[in-house]
Amino acid sequence: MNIITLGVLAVAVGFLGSLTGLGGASILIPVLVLFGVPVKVAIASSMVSIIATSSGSASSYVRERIANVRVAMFLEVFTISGAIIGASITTFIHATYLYFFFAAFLLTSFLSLRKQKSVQVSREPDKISSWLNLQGSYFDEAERKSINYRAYNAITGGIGMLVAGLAAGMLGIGAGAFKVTVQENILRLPPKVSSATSNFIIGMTALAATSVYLFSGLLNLTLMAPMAVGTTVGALIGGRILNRLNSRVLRVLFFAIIIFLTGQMLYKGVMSL
Amino acid sequence: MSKPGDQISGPESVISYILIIGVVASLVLIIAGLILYCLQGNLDIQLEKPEVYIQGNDFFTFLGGLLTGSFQTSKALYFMTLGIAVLILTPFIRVLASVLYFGVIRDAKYVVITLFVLIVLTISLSLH
Repeated sequence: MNIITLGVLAVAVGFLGSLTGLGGASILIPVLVLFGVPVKVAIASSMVSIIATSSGSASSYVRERIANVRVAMFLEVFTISGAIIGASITTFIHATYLYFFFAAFLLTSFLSLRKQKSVQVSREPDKISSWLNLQGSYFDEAERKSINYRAYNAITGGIGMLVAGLAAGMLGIGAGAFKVTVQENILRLPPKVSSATSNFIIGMTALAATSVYLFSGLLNLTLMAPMAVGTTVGALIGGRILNRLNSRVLRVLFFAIIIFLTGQMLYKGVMSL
Repeated sequence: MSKPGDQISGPESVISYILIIGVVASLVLIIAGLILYCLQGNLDIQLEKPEVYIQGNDFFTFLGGLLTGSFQTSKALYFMTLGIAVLILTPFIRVLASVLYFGVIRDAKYVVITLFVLIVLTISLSLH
């Protein structure tokens, strides 16, 4: 594969990744591996490009106040701890394990298939969530109204994010699907807030993992450079249209991509037997 | 009815600017490096040459080396490396700004939370 092809591919992947909150890396890593890039190099180099993708699109979500900064800061405590542990594990385990972990992790995305019940505003949040002031409001362009919300179960959510960070750091992905699942089902945040906040958190998580990969001899400039540029351009385009999309459209898109990725990884698994 | 932008400027606008400026600066450097690299006839992804891999021991020393010009590599790879370094600094500065913001509004809980993130990242960047 040449640099220009990788750049163009990264634009397409970045666009889809941003719309769904999945990030582009879970699509790009299997493709790079297919082209003969060692899996650890693909993982570490993706991690760096995720910083660009996530920060680029998070910028517009933050400005439009869809991403909740307090929720993000609190959850980052957990994701960065997980990411540093995960990345450290990847630097020394055998590459074969990483393929299996990758496939297994993709399957966890289906946890979010269970339809989320509408956010209950009537119930009082637990003491810790209230103490942390985890609440907010955003203007929903699709529904043309301001939506108020509160987060619940901060500690359980934090533990979920520790697992998300661990997987992200270990596999070089944003683990956006997992983060969104935790935020929607445990913290009970609205889907758009979950998606945008997850995007914001992913950048910090990727930085934490990158700090481990930085001088491990795995960061390849000829991979990182076109990936960072391509995925970010794609993600910026995606970020501009997110708030105009209906939550339902977003959900359908999200599942279509997960199904595709899981199928692809299963195929890879079968072929490597 | 509140529309985006109606609220008093909070951490959101500052954070948003840090992110976008950092990413744009980084991408400009990376694109400059990529163009130079391709103009030198290197169109393929290179997996073998050691010079395409980032080398070093500690991020802050590495960054200092990049900025003072003691970093030895081709111009194309130098720009790409500098772009990656700016990219790594972007979320780092975002946390730093958050600590300051929560300090200014005297939200002790969030000063502690953001400071924890900042300290862990600083240690991890210095160690590896």
